[in-house]
Amino acid sequence: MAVYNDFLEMRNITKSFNGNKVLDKCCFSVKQGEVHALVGENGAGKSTLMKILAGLFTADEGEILIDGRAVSISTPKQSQDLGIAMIYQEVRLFSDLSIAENIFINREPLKSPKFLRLIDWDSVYSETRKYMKQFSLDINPHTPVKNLSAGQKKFVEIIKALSQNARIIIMDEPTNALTEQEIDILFNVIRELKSIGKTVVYISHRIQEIKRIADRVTVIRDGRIVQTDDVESVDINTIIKAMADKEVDDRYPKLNVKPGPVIFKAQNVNLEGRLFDVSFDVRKSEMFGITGLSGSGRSTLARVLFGIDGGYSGVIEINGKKLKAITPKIAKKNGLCFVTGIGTGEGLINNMDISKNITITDLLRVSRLGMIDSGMEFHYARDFIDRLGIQASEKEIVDNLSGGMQKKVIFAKWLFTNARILIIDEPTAGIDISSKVDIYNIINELVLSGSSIIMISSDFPEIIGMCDRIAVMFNGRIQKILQRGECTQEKILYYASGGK
Amino acid sequence: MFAIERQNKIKDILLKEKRVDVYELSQRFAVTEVTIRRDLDKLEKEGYLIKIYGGAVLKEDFSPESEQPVVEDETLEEKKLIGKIASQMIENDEAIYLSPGVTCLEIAKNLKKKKLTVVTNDISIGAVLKDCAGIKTIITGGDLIPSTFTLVGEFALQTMKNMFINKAFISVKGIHFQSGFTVNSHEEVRVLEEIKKISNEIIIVADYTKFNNTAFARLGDITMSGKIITNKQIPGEYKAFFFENNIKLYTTYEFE
Repeated sequence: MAVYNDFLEMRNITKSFNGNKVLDKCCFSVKQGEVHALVGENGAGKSTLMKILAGLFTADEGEILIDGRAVSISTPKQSQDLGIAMIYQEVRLFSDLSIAENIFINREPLKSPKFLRLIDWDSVYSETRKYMKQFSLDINPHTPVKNLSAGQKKFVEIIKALSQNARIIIMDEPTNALTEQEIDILFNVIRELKSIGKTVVYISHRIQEIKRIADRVTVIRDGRIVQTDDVESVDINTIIKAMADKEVDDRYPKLNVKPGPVIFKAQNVNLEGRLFDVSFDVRKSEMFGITGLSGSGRSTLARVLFGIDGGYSGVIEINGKKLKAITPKIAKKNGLCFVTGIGTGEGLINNMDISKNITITDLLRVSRLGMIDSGMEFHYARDFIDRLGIQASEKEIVDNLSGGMQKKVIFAKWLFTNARILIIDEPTAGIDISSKVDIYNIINELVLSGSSIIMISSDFPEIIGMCDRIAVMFNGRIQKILQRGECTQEKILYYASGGK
Repeated sequence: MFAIERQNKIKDILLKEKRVDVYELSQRFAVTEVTIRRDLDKLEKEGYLIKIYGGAVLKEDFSPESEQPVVEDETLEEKKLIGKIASQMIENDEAIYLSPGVTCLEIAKNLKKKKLTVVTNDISIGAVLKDCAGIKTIITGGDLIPSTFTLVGEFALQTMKNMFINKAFISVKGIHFQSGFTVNSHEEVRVLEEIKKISNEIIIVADYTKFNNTAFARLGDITMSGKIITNKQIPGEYKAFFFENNIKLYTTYEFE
């Protein structure tokens, strides 16, 4: 893809709020048709810099050039007219309107004669369908936005930006509330944008993603631009170092609980071609993390440990009891459970209400004389809804719940079985921030009451922030097990990329 | 098994045998005596039994509406949960500060087995700690605010000179995006400002009803502390805000 000269240039941008200098002589330039990542810690200034571009703030000093010409951006409209579109972390769509209505709001094509101001709805819907097809998005444009997943809402915002003839699309932490599958789709959309000549500025703190999607990366720290590099040639570790001298794990509510004796052991677990010689142990009241990059085998390992994928060799020991050929039934009987991701379809039963989903794991407890007692079902469900802070009625169908609520119902399901060892796959993927905080605290309480957690996560700050020990996997092997105090993102990346 | 099931079974036993014994129940259900006592407390509130020394007897003329408990603090349970989490963060040989109020009182109740130094300007907290063998309790001097257990003023500030505190647990009356952390009076703020100066770490504690509330005297911005302990029922916007601002937010859950 041919790359032109700097199409957007910000020079010496300085901005203070109430005497605090937030941006200090920042120089940032973007070439047309590239995906340029802007990375930095929270509070480093990346959002502020982009909000100046979006017309929300005006810089105290400095200038902005587009296509080599100096421009003045003092209102969001001016920014939009220049072809700059900003997609914020929070969704800015009208949830009761459909996808198409959101995209064309205030700009609906009119039927002739135009003075009658009759909206040409056929046009609205067919245009929307065209855009969705272009990005291989298979959603009905009549769908009200509130029924969409977090990822789908993001795509609608991107399409809306495009339909307003945006030349440059700025995405602020776009993957925060997306599942891994949705992230893959998002990246495809971004590649498609590139191919039609659009420019993308991608603000993120997730280094692994930058490697996958960006052409160049700029690091901002404490209001200053530190460096700009080509993603292909730069060593990600230097990016991490440049971002901060402290870790981004200060926000995770970690409770230091003294671990007890070993209650779970995996020894020399092998799965033909996928897992090699995996051995580790987990103690009571411990949070044990397993991480690695895509394809490292972490999800496979989780499924093997719970017995979903059989055909493995090696020993799995729970509470000193050696189990051969573990199956989900045997696992459950021994207090081991698997809290799956919400998008996988394995966690909840669709079209069934919350109470049925919770009690399904142990129907005997809610049966009398061989028949299910709905009163008891609802009773237990209400108790869990209370304890876990699920804001819904026990009769609500799970499909209508948000990602965070669904995750809590999955937790409730396993807590109902008195599970003592919980394997949690991506605890907070696809969940809003408020629910993330809830999940961390739920896990804390579990650990405090004596349960053990095996947490599988691709979110490095999360796993560093919450776990006591972390196993880093690469190509089906555990490369290293790190202790909490010595773990940094750089170290994880090193082992996750094959370091020894 | 869960608390409800156990309590139901205890009710069954009571109906059959007319009396229960704490030790026997704890053996039978393989839980601690504390847990059984909590169950019995609950059943007593519901009017099923009357607690006696070492156990309980069935209340023969059981009617659910009788025995209404004295109107208590609505959020006492939530404060107790906060006390549990806070005590989990305290290690032996530390010097901690507990600010005035019921929430910190609940923290104090969880410190019985620890070995530490506790500084407080709340005389009821001092009283609760009096029988804890391993705890060195220092109550500041000061003027007692009428109708409260709180000491403030010059004498209180004097006590704190030349002290260093590892962790200060500060309870607030209001937590609000705009008005920040607020407490009842400026005298209390004066004491807390001194505490801030001599403490290594500040931990804010408050039950969920304090959120979106504003009290009279401002203590500081809601970003002034790196750790907050509260309950799960707080509004989602606060959870998101603290996470995004690198502040550890602990919310309580109860599973037993």
